[in-house]
Amino acid sequence: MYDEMHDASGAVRPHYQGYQRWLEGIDRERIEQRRAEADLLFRRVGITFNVYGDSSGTERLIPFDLLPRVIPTGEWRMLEHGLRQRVAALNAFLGDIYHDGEILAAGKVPAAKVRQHPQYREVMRGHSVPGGVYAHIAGIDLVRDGAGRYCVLEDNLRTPSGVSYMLENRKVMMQLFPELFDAQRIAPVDHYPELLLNSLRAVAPDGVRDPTVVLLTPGRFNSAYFEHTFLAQQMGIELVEGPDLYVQDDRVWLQTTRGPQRVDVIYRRIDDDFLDPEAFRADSVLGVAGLMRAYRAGGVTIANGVGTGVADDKSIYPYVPEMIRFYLGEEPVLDNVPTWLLENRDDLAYVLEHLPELVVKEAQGSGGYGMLIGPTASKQEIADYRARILAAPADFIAQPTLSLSTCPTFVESGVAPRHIDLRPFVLSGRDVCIVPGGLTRVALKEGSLVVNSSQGGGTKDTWVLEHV
Amino acid sequence: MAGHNALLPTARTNEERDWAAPLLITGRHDAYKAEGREINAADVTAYMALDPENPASIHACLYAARENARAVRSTITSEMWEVVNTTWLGLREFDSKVLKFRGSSAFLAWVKERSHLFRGVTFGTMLHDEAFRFNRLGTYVERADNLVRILDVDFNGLVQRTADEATGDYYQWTALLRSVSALEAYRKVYRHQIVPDRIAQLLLLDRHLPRSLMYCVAEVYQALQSVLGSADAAPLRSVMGLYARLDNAVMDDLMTADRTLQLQPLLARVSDVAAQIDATLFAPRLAGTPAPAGLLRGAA
Repeated sequence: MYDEMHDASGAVRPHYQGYQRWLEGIDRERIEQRRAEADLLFRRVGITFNVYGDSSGTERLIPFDLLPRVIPTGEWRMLEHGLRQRVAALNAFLGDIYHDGEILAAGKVPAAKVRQHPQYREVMRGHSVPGGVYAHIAGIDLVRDGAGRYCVLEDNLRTPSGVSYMLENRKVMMQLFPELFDAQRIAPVDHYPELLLNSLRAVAPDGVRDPTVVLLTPGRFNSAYFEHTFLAQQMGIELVEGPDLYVQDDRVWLQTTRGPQRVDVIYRRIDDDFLDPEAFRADSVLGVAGLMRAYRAGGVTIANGVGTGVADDKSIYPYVPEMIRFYLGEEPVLDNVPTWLLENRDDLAYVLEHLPELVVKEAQGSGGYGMLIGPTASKQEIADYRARILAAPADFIAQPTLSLSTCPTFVESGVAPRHIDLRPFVLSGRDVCIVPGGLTRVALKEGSLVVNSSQGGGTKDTWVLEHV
Repeated sequence: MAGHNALLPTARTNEERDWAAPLLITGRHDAYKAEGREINAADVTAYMALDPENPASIHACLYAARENARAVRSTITSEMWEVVNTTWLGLREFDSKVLKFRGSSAFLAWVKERSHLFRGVTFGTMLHDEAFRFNRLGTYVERADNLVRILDVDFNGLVQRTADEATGDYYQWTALLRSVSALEAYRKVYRHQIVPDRIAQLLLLDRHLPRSLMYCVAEVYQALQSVLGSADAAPLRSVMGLYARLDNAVMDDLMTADRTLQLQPLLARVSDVAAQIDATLFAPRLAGTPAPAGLLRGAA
């Protein structure tokens, strides 16, 4: 198991030394007091989960841990390189499979698997998007294995969320511990909304000089609504719902008191299925009728593009390193986690024999639900899961149980190691940019490997040091 | 609305009569009686302050305010949101026990302060653009409506009572003025003893008092004009009519022979203004036609 703060001999790693000095000089009481203050700040800003159907306003905070996760300069440079490369390849892959399908013809990725994938959008065939960018915002989940090697666990190319926590975590840390930011050079993150807006403006349809960007939300009952309002406000763009927009002459319009206003770029936070009742689910009230017509005619840019889901699926994931070699002619900087596809007979046989050691996931699942963690599962759970696998092997993938790296975290008994991951946000517009760091999630339960907030996970501020 | 409820009676006289007033003003009297509840200080205070089931309670208003603020959060400033949100969170410090134990005045003072704070933050942080004018529009329509209702119950009630009892009750009249933050203004304007006709004149026709009906109507007119742009729209015609009525009024026109105010015609006009605004600016969206969402959001 890799400890982010201490090396094998127990010595504090160089990039944590500044933090260690501060930690030695601070007493427990002050930490408790700061923790209460942090809670208050998060509640004021309203970064809370709603518990629906409860009018007493009970809302939960995602637990925030005051101990930051620190990444040294050199490590970040490597990560940044790997992330750029990976997202470039994924965008190239999406452009390819919706056009000539060269990678399929070359036999590097099974053609049937791509074209029959439920997330493959026939409507995107032959449609070219500005700059060839499909995944304008990508959230790439990284973990570290026992040797400390970074691997990509998952690519999120549809509507990745969580960036508002990254921004608010930093704001709160700077407010509570200004002395830490004076003593070290920590790369800033708060220009993210500006980079995002620039990226979105850069992919406006050809010929639009001063593009209007809107953020399309499913509405206030969505669990990420806070983030939608937050980002719209930070970027100074309109937050709209489906009924606020309409399509005329293959253009998208926003009705205002001064008449209709043309919309050039839609940063959408709703899924493909709900975007346009004419093209996808007819019962969708969240979308805009005719939006796909306008999109296909080049009248509007949708970000992320339609049909990106085929590239971030767990069953396509094993082919990403091959995509990097195919499109970029480079070796991948960031490795995948070894993955068994249970549709392959050999893989299936191996996995069924080793269930108690492995993690098995639904290829289409997300949010940490519906997975089997072999080492912590009971015999009965394993037996039940085996039956599910046998009923539809192609729906599942398996991976070795990663030990995930640990980072010191404040817990009841003091400071103890807890498992973490990292989600950097990669923006693609005219060029690719990444705010240093990302969102670090932490599994707060001792020994737990599940960092999802719906399952007892918390977050930490993520520091990329500029001097170590 | 929460701001008005914070102005509950503070003097103790005829308990049932006095404590019926907040119920009457907010239109909750019949519903309250229908539940078989007693009208006394403690019960009415609890009902108007903290009862989530009472849509006119401070609790319900602050809840609605926060939910609405959440929905338009990207349009308002983060400072405005934080005031509304912190107020809602702060409401948890108060329950009926606290109210009973510490008396309601600390709570009511807090509500007033929060409401003043929100207004200040709105003026001080929001772009004074279309969204801001919508905010003003809503504020003054509500305020006009509330004022007429308060006068109907408190002013007319007091005139009738003082005629019966022949006790020109100074404290009751000052309480009425205080309830709309107008006592100091009265003294400044009239420098004279407090008499009902002058109170009515101040609250209905004064052009400088920010809570007078005249002032509210003028503000509604201005906000509407800049939002709609055209002088011909139905809501503007409606508010113009009301403005003209007040502009030309002398107090005697507005009073009956027994010196109570004839408020029903004014209330009807205020309601008409609100209905016209609703039909022109908000109804189209509800009907599902291509939507003037930009109304609340402001044209970019």
